[in-house]
Amino acid sequence: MLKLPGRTALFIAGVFMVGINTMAQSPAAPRAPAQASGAPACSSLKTTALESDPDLVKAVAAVVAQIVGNYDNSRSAQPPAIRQFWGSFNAAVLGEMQPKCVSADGLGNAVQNAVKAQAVTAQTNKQVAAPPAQGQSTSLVQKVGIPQLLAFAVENGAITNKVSGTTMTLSTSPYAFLTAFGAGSDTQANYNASAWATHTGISATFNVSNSSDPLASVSRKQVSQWQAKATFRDTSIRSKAVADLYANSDLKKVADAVAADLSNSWFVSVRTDLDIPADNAYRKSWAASLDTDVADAQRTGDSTKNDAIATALLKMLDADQDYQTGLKNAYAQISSQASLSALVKKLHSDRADFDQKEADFEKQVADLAKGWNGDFAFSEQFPATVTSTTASGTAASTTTAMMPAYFQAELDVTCEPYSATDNTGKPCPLRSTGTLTFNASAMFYPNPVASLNEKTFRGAHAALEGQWALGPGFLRIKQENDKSNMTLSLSANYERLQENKDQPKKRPDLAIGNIKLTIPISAGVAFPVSFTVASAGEQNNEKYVRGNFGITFDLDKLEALLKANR
Amino acid sequence: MTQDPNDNSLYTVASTERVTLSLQSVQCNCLTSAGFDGQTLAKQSAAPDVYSFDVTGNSGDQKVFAGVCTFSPSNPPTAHYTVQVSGSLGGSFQASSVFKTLPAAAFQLFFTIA
Repeated sequence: MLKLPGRTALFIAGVFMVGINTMAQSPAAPRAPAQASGAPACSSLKTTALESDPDLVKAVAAVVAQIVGNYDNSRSAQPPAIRQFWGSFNAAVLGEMQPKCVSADGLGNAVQNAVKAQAVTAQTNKQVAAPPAQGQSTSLVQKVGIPQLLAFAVENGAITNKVSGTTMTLSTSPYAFLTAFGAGSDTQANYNASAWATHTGISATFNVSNSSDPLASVSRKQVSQWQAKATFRDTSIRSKAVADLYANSDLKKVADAVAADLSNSWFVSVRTDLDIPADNAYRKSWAASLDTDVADAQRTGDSTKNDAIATALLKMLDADQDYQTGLKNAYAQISSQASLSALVKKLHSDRADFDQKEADFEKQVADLAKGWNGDFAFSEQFPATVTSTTASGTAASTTTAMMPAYFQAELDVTCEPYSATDNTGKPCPLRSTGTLTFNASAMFYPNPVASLNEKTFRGAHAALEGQWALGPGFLRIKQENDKSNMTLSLSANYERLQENKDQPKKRPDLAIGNIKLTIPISAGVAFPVSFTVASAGEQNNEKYVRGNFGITFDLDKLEALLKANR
Repeated sequence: MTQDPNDNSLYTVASTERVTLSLQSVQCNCLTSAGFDGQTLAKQSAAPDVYSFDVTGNSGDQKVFAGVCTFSPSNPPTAHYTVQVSGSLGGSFQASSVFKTLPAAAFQLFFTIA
């Protein structure tokens, strides 16, 4: 009965449960005098075989991203104008040439992936099990989930489609519609001006009758629930809080330093010596091979194609005489002028510092989503039909009854403790390791059926859960960056079903207690065990004690770890 | 101000002309830094992030503007920043967009004094 935001969660429940989260030359710039000789020996001087340096491959990948991103498939095959992006790459080349200078440029993606993997695997507020409305779930409360819904709607189009087991959920937000259908593109200015639209989301869940074509199941009869939701606080990476955090961050200070470094007037000569020859070489090879590859990379969005283009660009620069001459001239300048050498070293150092500060910043951004938050949801539930068979003598009759639909208004509040990197937030009630979640709802029948003992007020529901991270658990050998924690959760659920009052074999008050221990056993794999005690079932008054255990597979965690540890 | 028809990173400006750059993020938060002629620039306003600077010097001098656009790993691959350049004596131009590169993408624009 616990519902959490999850990207691709599939849950098969029961005693055994499985969850799968799842150019033309420009006017010549003033040229600094080249020093033809006097350069000190440099074992790391690389004027050829640039593609063998992984740091340079990563630096040129930034140029490739601009080529692919700026390519306009609808126009004639003109090379995208990307001359302004060579400077940063050439600065990286020159930094690599500095003797005894170890590039940390390549640190970027590795750090990024490591941070992401650590954040994803440490996540304990994610719905891997079935949502509370589905049967067989091991949890009793629903956590706040609009940010992920919003992120999906914004990042992937006006409507998202998620198939999980035998159900499919279509979700969207007013902001997704505003930006998808002409009210303006998804700029940050529009995002900031549409707070109401980014704080709300709607979704509908359908029972899937044909798994090979789930969208074919979209019909009124197949709806199991629809929901409108408004969150109290924007915790997405697009929020103003993230922009404010950046403005006062160490990352901004280093980014300012990098920008100041790159705007040094010496880069006018770098442009002449390196940027323009590099750009000319790129344009010469456009028609020969790059055109098709870039168009293909943009069409498919396949990052491996970008890597191939990056390698091709570097090989092209290896063989380009103008670029090679420019490289020697630039290096001669650096070698003969202490101020230039210091500038290149500083830029190289600032770029490395930037990578580390960016990693720290991402951790702080992740913390912004923590602390107190909540949402209000209004939904209409369409319970499954109930089939009953009555035996009478030798004859048996079967009747199928449509369960009446009802509205539900729900308030969800949660507090996830901040990590050690940020202690500016108000503490959660469960201190530094416990996440508190509270749900309360009231249900109403729009058309109560008196013969079924229904009144307008169907009932009320409240649930409370405390979840604690207990450390890495029993797993002694973990993959690098795997921050999965063993978790313990205690939850209690109370439900008042008014229509059960004075009904034979039914109880109006249902109380359920649950304790659940989740033990990580491998990358993205966990072993949850839960015990549930209930005062009665919704359809009968029998008390029960139930034990559930199983294996959950979280493909998001596994993917993040594979990327980080590749 | 004029833009080189063959190179949208190259501009010709009048001496003492004030240049304004507007960086608008699309599908990502607006997290930018900028420098001109070796100095950090302060942002004039946010979302879009606007930077202004005076290009001073002698005829033929070339000055460099550098921008750093930060992205998040969670941004979609199509996340980018648009770059609008305008001069106080007239002329408004679009430079190439800056597409997602982790952790950031840097670019340079060159201003030659007429």
